[in-house]
Amino acid sequence: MKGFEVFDLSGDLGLRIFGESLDDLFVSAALGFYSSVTDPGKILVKTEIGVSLEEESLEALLVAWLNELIYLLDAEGFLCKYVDVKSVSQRHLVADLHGEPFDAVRHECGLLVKAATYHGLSVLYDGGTWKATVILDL
Amino acid sequence: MGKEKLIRIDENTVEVPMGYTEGMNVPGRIYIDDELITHLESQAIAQVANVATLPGIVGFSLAMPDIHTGYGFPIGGVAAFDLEDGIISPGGVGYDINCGVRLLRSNLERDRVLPKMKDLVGAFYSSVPAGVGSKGRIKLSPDDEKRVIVKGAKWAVENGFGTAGDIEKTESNGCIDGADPSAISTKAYERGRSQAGTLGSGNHFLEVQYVGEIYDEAAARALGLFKDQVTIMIHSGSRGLGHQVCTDYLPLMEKTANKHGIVLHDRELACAPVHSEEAQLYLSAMKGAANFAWANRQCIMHWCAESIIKVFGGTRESLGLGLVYDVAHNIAKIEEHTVGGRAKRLMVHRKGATRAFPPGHPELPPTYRHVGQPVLIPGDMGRASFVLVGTQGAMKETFGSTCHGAGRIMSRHQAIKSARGRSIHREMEDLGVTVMSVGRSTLAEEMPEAYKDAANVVDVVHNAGIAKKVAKLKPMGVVKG
Repeated sequence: MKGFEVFDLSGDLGLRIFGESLDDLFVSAALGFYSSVTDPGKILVKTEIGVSLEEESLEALLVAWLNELIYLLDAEGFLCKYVDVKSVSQRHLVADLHGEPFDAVRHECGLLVKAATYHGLSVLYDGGTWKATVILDL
Repeated sequence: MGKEKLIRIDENTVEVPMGYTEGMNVPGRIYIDDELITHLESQAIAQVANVATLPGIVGFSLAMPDIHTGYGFPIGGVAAFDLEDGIISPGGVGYDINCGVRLLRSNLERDRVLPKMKDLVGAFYSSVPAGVGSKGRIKLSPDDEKRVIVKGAKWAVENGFGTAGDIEKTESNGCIDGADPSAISTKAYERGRSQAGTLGSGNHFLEVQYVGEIYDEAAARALGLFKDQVTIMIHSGSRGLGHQVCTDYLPLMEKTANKHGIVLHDRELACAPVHSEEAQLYLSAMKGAANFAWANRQCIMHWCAESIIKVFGGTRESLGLGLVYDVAHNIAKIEEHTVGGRAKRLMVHRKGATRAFPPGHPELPPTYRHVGQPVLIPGDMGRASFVLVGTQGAMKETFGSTCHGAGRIMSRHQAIKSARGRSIHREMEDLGVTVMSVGRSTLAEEMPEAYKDAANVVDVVHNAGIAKKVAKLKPMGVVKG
């Protein structure tokens, strides 16, 4: 199963995200994000950052997760190669991000994402699969 | 779908009637002609109607001819709210708080600059950081960053980035009073710390232009513009700091709306009554982000001026380098307007719309008070951008507001698909436009045909009398993030 797909949307970026478990769903969301920002194949694993989030709903948790990745990229230049989900529920997520800081020489410049939005947001469990739609403001 | 319910008022205006969406407090008005209406999305119309349901909205829920679907509010939307029973909404400002445009003029003419375009665009490209992961040339300490939040463009000038004369040519003198540094989160500060003086990406740009046509000689003279003169247009915003302020406050605004029993037709319309503590906190943070954006554009302009001096020799004075004006096009402000014959202070939201104050308005700098506020409308990188001035018509009809740009007609993916097998870089060179960009697909996404022709957009606002055309600016060189 493909972890994510990008869908067509005026000037912004739409992501459809899939996962057999909530772990997978959050990993796919991160992969969709980083694939839009750069070529994930060129990210090396040099450092690790821990993330712990709590929100009132699964939808809000997904938006908060993507916004955390956006914040880490802006504030620390951090690009993530892979995500290790430590624990997850519909309202909390604890994960370690493994990656390295952005390097203008080695890393391709893709899209600059401002924020994950609530516009058109949905998360549902259907036929044994988690499916989410989220729109990123560019 | 949806368009059939619109009522045409005149050749430049349609009404979104009461009842288009349940709970509308006022009708909607969209400034649009028969040509541009073919691009009008039903979702954007629905958003105009949704904004009309918000408490305390005054007059009409307005949209400009560059309207397209946004988050909550449409892009191109203008809405004013009563300070007593109205609201403030981060969705009516947008994620990029005080995204805006400024125009730097020179006394250089096109013929002198043309042979040096590659040098000039290269100098801009290396002096103004752009794109993903770019870090600014200014390293702000946490205390410095708070000073930027409070002082805006004045901080930049005090620190050597420009001259005192730039301040009065900036909307709100480049600083809205009342920014509270403590209303901005640590995360927002961390995102902004290395981004002062950076361009960003997407539709943000630096553009070398020449004055291709003058529509109003007297106004052009007052703005210091003449035929074939070279100008530089800068389009950027509050960067990660402003984006984080919006992200941080949306959940709080949603909770506050629920607490006050405000029915939201869209989560991105999250809002709070103006008088509430939560609204005042957001407003203090938004002002700080707006001030950050003015400092950002002031620094960028300073480096552009330095680049021009490096390429052509001389000084800022001998090259006639001076700010024409700087406008915000994503902002909410308390302004005085006439409602029902009486002066009233309102919370005016402009989301992808430009302030367009008329001649005589006290907020204009003395040099422009007789001509009206300069309005800067960026177009796509192949056709043209425009300079207009504000009018009494805008004051009467649109809370002193007009359009802000061209608006997309192709999605990014359609543009990338349409660019397959073509070199947009070469096509731009063939058009006489030297381009440099950081992003892997920026040029394709930003190709001219992905946008409406800004000429059609400004014609509507000119014909509707909510701004007056002064000059057309043709692109010669572009830096994109």
